[in-house]
Amino acid sequence: MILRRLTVWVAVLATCNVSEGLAAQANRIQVDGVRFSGTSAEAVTVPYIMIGAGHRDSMFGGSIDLSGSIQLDVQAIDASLVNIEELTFNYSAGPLDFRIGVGDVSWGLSDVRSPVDAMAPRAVFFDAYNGARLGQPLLGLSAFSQWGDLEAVIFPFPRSPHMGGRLKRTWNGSSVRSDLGWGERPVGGLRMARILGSTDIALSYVHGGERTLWISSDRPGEAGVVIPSLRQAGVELQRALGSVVLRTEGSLAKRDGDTEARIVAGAEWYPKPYLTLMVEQGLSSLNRAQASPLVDDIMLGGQLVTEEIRFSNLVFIDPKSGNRHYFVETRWTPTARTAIEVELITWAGDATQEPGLALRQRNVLRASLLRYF
Amino acid sequence: MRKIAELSQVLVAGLMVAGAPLAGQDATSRGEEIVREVERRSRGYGDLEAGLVMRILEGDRERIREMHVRGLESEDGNRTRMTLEQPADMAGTEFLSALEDDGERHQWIYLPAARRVRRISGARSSDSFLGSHFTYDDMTPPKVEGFTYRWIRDEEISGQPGAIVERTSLDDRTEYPRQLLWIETERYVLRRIEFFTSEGEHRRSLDLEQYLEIGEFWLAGRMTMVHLEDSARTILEWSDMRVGVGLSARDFEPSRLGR
Repeated sequence: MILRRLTVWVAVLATCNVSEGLAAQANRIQVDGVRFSGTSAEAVTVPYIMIGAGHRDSMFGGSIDLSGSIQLDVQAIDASLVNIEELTFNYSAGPLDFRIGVGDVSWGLSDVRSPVDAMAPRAVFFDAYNGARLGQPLLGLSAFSQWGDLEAVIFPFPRSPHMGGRLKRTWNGSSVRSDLGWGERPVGGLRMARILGSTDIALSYVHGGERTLWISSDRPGEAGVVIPSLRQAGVELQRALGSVVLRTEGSLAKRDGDTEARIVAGAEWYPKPYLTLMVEQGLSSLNRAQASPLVDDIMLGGQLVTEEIRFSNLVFIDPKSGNRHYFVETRWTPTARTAIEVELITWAGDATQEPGLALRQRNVLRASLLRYF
Repeated sequence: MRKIAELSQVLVAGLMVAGAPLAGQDATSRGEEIVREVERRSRGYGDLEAGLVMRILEGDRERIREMHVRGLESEDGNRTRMTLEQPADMAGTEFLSALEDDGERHQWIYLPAARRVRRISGARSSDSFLGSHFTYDDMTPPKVEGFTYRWIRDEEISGQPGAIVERTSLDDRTEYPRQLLWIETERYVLRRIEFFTSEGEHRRSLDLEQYLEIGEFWLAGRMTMVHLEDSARTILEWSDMRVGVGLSARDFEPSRLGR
């Protein structure tokens, strides 16, 4: 079945003629080799092949957006992922924009641990924190006014977080089931965004089944992905001050009966056009059982970008235990259509201080060859 | 990345001109009058859409950037939205730049992989634009009041009547405080700018060619910035330029990026 879907999807991608419209994202083929060390869930090297493409064009008085990818686990075809990130028809009428199809919304400001971004499921393969966003059937309506931009979105048949990689084990050793299908606990939300001088402000409300990766344990040694019931109010603020941009976002959530307040606040500094330095602090009112242990850590990061080389690193530090999670990535672009990436994810500290139900990911090395077309 | 966001406050505004003759007085007032006329005629296009190719040439090496550009002129200032098409790994990345009338810049970026719009800091005026030989200063229409002027002489430019005007920046932090402008005085279009350091060294030249008449405006279809020291250059070429296409403020809201 999955092979049939892959074949159809490759055919769809092959028919995209980017020169006729705008590319919605880069068209590419990517070959990955991912090495999980002996201290991760499994000591194994996994080869992946990924094909991704995007296209945007005018149609029927509106526009069509298409982007998607196939991530193929060469050794375990059933663990592969077909992800239509976006296949939407967009139509404007006066101050209103309509959107229907398969897609997602990306609210919030923090890329790794946004407290506001609760409606977008991700696919986990080798990195529990930065998986690809998954498209889901949606209906969207946006209204533009002098008061700001209002966006309403409903996911009537939502998708669950996908765990296709070798990370199906938690820090306390439990094996994680991820057998949830589509359509469980629909979710929707409202967001109002406005610019006030150098400050962007947004207020949001989400109601339904949360799509952030949550793991629950019902018996020793076993755990499963769950979709908690969520009612959440969120706020986002970002402001530019010279070469610094300050960002803050927070949420107040009622999740399966538990109330949680979260905030993430940070700053990006651009001392040079090619250099970015970041600091960010997360805080939560709860001890969490989410898949990420990074929620209330301090994050320090930097990115150096030249014409051919991009080097970025992030370190998350737990101020209580001193545990550290490192994400280091280098990208070399020797030609306009070729890139080589190497990413190292590693960890240091006291394992007993990590949240027991967070996905275990101690040492992972990824090497990738990308070809754009 | 943020460097890209400024694209062309003037890729849009500064190159669009149309023309009628002026009367002349002394060297200072005549120089300023000519430049004011060029500036006056660069406003009023409303909105526009175009393709832009940037070729960066250094020795044998050529780097190419391609993008789709949308611009809006409003009472509050100018807005420019750029969607990158090349390099391939940045396809779909969008930049929105808002230049307020008081000179303040606001910039946002949309990255397709994250599907998130983020505000980024404003670039410094002397920073390289998109890794090219243009700076943000070059891409932003300078305020007439920021310079003093001196008419040098009238001179035929490519068979058209023209004038050479010297302008000197009142801002002593400017990298190139003295500039010589070659201006066609039939259409009041800029044809060449020579840039001089505070030591008087001629470092760079900008040539503007292939003017196209679009509506009541003239557009330089090709701009070439040359660094005289090493002959490295950047060429900007417009294509499929359309003005008055019906873009509105909503198309330049940060929340519209990526759509």
